[in-house]
Amino acid sequence: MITSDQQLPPVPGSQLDEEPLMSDKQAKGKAGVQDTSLVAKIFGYLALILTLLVILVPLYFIVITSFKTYSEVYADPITFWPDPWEIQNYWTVLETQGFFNYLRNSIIITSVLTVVEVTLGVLSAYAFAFLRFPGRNILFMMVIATLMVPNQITIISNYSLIANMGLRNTYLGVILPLAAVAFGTYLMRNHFMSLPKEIMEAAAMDGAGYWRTLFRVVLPMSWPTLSAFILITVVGEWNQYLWPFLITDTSATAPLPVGLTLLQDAEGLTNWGPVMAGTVLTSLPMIIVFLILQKNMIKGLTAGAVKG
Amino acid sequence: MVFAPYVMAGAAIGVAFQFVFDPNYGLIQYFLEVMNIPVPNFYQNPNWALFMVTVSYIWKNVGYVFVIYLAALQGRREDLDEAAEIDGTSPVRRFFRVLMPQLKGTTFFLSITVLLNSFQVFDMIQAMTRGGPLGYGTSTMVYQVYQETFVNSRAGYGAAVATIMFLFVLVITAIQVRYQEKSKD
Repeated sequence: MITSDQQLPPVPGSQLDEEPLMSDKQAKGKAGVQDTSLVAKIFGYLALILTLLVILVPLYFIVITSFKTYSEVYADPITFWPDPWEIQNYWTVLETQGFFNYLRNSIIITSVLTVVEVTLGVLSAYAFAFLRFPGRNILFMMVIATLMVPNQITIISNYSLIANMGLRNTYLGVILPLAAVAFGTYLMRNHFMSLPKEIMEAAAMDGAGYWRTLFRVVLPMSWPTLSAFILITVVGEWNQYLWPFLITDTSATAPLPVGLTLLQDAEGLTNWGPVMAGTVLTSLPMIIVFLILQKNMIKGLTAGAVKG
Repeated sequence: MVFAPYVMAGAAIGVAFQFVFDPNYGLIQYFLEVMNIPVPNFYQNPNWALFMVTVSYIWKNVGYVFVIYLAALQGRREDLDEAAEIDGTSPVRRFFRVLMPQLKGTTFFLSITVLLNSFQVFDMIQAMTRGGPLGYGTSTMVYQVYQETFVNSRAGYGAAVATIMFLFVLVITAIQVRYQEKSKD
């Protein structure tokens, strides 16, 4: 407990002010604290370096393997610097039938899903936050409840539904079941609720309608949360695997991660170079996006997790 | 950079880590050989295959845990730390008795989230082991749902596994909600 006394500056002549008044034991204790905190610091840095190594060494190994020649990939002992640096693996991947198809599919699926999810998320959050209508709380509870049901549990029913609609191997079939996600509604509503009521009232007084309020008042104040939401959606949909894997069979509509496992089936265990190049190509867009915009994304991820 | 693996596709990490764990040419066998430790066959032995998948999954997600803890640490109460220091508490004790209690909520949140998410691993297992070796060596519940429904064409069995899994998730979520409400009081 912090009492106001402790925050006041020490009274002149008090024990805190004059070192010699400390007993030997106390003085020793103080020196001890500083010594051990140095040790603690060293341990802290060691742990940090160890963690970084564990994360970075495999990442480095994956990247350099993608630049190795066939014979060097299977060298024993393994090498940590490709000699020579060879981009043949990348050409092999790019020439593989379907790579550009997978890339195109990934881009289409990710963009459509992001636009749809963000639009739905923002609009529904606006309704839940600012409009009064009967059943609002019950509806919101239901939306939140879907957050607790993992996607994977509904795949069987989704699959038979989509297959019966004849939508296997179509973009629509991939996109439809993934489009409705409560996460955005939840995140944006929580943020909208935190906006000052007065501004909303002022906008209403000035005769701004719902759309005008949303685009001119609410969204300009929500950019950090909104951008985090968009980023998390883009990364999540780009990396989506299970559903596209089930509903697509060919490179016509399958996205990159699915294509990568197909490439692994074709080449893996016999020729790792191109497979590693494919891994790098699949992961690179998201790593770049993340490195540029990491602050926004981290804000969104931590929004629900940390409570004051 | 610690966070980079988290934005990579699980399938991509699965594919790449299969080679990292390659018993003859991989990264792990290199370090084990340097340290004179016999290299287990990560592909054939079910226990080691599970180990391989688990380590890969941890590698992917440790960045997430890191970031959440970092955010929580930035909101910690430094005055408590100072008070403990003045009282002459040792750093180890300060870590366990002052800092960790403050992070209790975050730790709980992370445990639940990570637990729930790891029920649902599919992409990595599909990329690395197909649920094998020896049938169910590395199958998760989600993988079993897939296996039964789409490979063995037993949709009813698959749906039953999915329902059981849903019950697990429900119970764990209920515990989480309950705990969070309790800690608010």
